Amino acid sequence: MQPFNVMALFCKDIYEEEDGGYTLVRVLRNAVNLPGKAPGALPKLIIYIRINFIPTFDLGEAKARMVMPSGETIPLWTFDAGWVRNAQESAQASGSPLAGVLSRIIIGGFQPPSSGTVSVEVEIKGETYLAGALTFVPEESSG
Amino acid sequence: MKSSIKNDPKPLRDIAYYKQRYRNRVFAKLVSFITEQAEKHRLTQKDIAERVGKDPALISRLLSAPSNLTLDTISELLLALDAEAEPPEIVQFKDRRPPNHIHPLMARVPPTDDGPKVVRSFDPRFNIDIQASAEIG
Repeated sequence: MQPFNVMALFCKDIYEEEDGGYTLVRVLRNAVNLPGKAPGALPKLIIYIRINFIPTFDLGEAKARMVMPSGETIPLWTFDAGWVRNAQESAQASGSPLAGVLSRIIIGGFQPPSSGTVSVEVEIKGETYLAGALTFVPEESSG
Repeated sequence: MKSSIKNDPKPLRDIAYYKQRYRNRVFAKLVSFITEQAEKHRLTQKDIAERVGKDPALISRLLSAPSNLTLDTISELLLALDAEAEPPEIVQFKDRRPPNHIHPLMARVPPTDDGPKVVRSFDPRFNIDIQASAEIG
């Protein structure tokens, strides 16, 4: 069993609740149809990234980035090793079977590509893992 | 005696912040509605432009980023989709519900070590604002 997993969800909004939890609003499917060329930018695109790992596993530093269809990358967040260790110790202290770190990314004025996939990758111990992907499908080929 | 409420000018930062915030809110509402209608009725920007009687390039520009849209422009865009906007709701600050998140610029409090660390950046390649935060969860 892999000692960790990474996940990224794309959604349209996120609310921070009083108890410290989050409410994700309109989580997008893996493929989004673009109706012709209307409209332009998304006012807001949220990426919710979560890494769960077994508390006895030394995850180390984890770097999250967004990869555009052109191949260009946008750094999103670096979970530094010391901080990940805090999550590990916190989970061990509470007896939780999983430790976790999460990041909320709020992107304003996102211009969707005319087609192609925007993905979120997380680099752990020199290996790259795909955490999530959002494919934009032009109307003509969406069927 | 001078009335502080009457005579104190508002800080320029507050004025700029609230102007931009209102533009963003109107833009978000408008784009959200137009997107929904465009998806529902399979309309393109060209279709909307024809309905409004304007250049498609102008419609594209209006819908690409928040700007100082005139009331007439908003009305024309909405009318093209058989809709209209209700008058804006006006709320005095003292009557607002307490928010569950306050923009640090307005709260004017330094971030504490206890809360999630927040990093803001701008990527000029894609013209996007990025606000990132993380926490143990």
